[in-house]
Amino acid sequence: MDYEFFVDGERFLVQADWNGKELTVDSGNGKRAYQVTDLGNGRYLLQDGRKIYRVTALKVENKLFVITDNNIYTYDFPSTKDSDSFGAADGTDSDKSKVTAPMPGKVIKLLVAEGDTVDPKQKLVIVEAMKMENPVVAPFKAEVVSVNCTEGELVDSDTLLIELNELS
Amino acid sequence: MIKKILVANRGEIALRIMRAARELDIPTVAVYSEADTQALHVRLADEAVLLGPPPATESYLVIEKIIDAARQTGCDAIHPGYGFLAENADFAAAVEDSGLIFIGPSAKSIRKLGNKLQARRMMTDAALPIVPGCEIKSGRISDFIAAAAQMGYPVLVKAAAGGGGKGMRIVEQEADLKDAVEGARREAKGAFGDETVYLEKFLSRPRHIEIQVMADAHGNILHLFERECSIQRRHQKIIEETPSTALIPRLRQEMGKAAVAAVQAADYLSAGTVEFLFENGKFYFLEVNTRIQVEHPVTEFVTGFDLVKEQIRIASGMPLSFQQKDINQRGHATECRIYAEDPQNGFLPSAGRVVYLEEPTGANLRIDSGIYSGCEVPVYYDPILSKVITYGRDRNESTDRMILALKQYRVAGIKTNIRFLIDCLQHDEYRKGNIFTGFIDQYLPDWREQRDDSDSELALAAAVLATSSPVGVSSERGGDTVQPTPWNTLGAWEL
Repeated sequence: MDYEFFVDGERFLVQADWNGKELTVDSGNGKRAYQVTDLGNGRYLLQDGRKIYRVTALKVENKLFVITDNNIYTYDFPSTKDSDSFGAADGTDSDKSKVTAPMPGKVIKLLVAEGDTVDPKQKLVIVEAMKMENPVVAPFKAEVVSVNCTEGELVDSDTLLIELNELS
Repeated sequence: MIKKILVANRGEIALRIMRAARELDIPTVAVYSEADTQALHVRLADEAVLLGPPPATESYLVIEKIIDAARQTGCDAIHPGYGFLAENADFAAAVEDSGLIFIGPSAKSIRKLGNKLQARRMMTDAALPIVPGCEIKSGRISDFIAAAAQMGYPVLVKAAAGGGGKGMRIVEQEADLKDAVEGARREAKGAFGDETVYLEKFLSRPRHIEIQVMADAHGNILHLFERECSIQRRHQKIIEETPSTALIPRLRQEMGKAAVAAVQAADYLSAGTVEFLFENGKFYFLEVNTRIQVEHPVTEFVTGFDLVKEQIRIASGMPLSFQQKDINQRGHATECRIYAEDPQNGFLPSAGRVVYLEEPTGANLRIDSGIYSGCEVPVYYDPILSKVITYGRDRNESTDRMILALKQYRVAGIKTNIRFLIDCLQHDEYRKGNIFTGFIDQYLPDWREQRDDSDSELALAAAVLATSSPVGVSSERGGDTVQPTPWNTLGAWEL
């Protein structure tokens, strides 16, 4: 059967057969067969002839983490049950005119006001997290359309802080 | 001997202290905030007391709450660890006043040495070389500007009560001085409750070399040689080692003597670190850290002494269990600090859930860790997760061992600096020992991870396994045989 996985919006299609002992997979570069030992807690031993691979695969919330000897791969799952909308890019994510908090923290300084013109890399807001001050900067030359946070406010990751209008 | 210790800290250092106490058969009490109910230090302690809400200012930094917790649980001593209240003289004084033992120097010594400005004055009196600098008594920005102009840019704005790079800014030009002073003041106020900052000349290619000292209440003061901590990012040490590649025996002896003289001037007790900047064969006094340091394990590896156990013995009134002549440096030790931060994204802190953790094991390898698989890393505290310490018969062996250990250190769910550390250690100039505090800015300024995706097919195979169950498995409800789909079996893999 077919499986699809997404990494940062990129789609990976895998054809696989899994009978509880042997796994055959084809992700586009030819078929590979592995003997699988389930070690429990998401850990597997995959054997391809004499070659042994250790992998761990964990589903946490809407992500799947696969840990190999070299890397950690993070696959995204659909946020809705409608698999058709699966992986559709969230337009607001890439919209750089909406400046959001890079991590949860506290707004300790607001450096701009509505109507200000800001230069690229100009500091807009300082968010304190883990006892360090982290400046949030303008991605481009812009006018500040709205300020959506106040000093002292606790913000979550991706909370809208400032809206900009890019100036050419 | 002390009967019961309250550990006024969290994370890896709290665990480190509890283990030392346990070796001495002393029970320990953990304190924790509402964000840390599931934290590892709470799980290892014999008892635990909730302090309050997550922000440190309402929990780990509230002196009265900590002393109350110690009283309630019948502790006779408090170990402050590093950070939080460790170098707060008011805290040490409050502990002393309440009849408890503060495992560390006296409030008086901390006050003398902990304030960097006062320490600079003392060291000048003790004829130690110090980095050129000046305090701005008025606090006026215009006076800062005048002083910086006289000193010559670049200058360093430093918090008098600072440490760990907090409340510190390098300023290249006059236009940036005002912002830097204000920013450093805010950070210093938040982290230490004291916003005094001063100016110091910024040396161009200094190494950071520090000397570990220990003193007991019987008049014995000794040093345990140096640690080199030149690999820093934003003034925060990330790789430390001993011995330093820069010191010849004569300099090592001179610095050891200077360090002992420095703390002697302050009637010192317990473990302390005298920090120096080192450039062109000369050393300059920087500051004294009146606490156990994050990087103390490298000293423990090469000398064989347990500094935290020694602190507890000293606090119990016992003499040091070794003398200067017993201390030798043998082999080489390296420490890497694992931080919850995203090196691909401006090293922003990366709080969240550790969904997977696999720590390396092996010969001559020590992991001081404060995390476990499934734990939450709160946003409220310092992002240090753990420390990896390796030992080798020489620097090459220790470094090789560290690189291998870091490659086997696997954390998923939050971002860490592990790959960045590996690239630092593998850099030619690091391998040659040509390091200085600007190493990262000079050699790894726009670091990007070089990902090796050669096993991506294998990863997809594992992904299939995790999203599917064997054909013919009965469903829980009706015993029907169901055909697996990629999505109907996911629940089984929740942690």
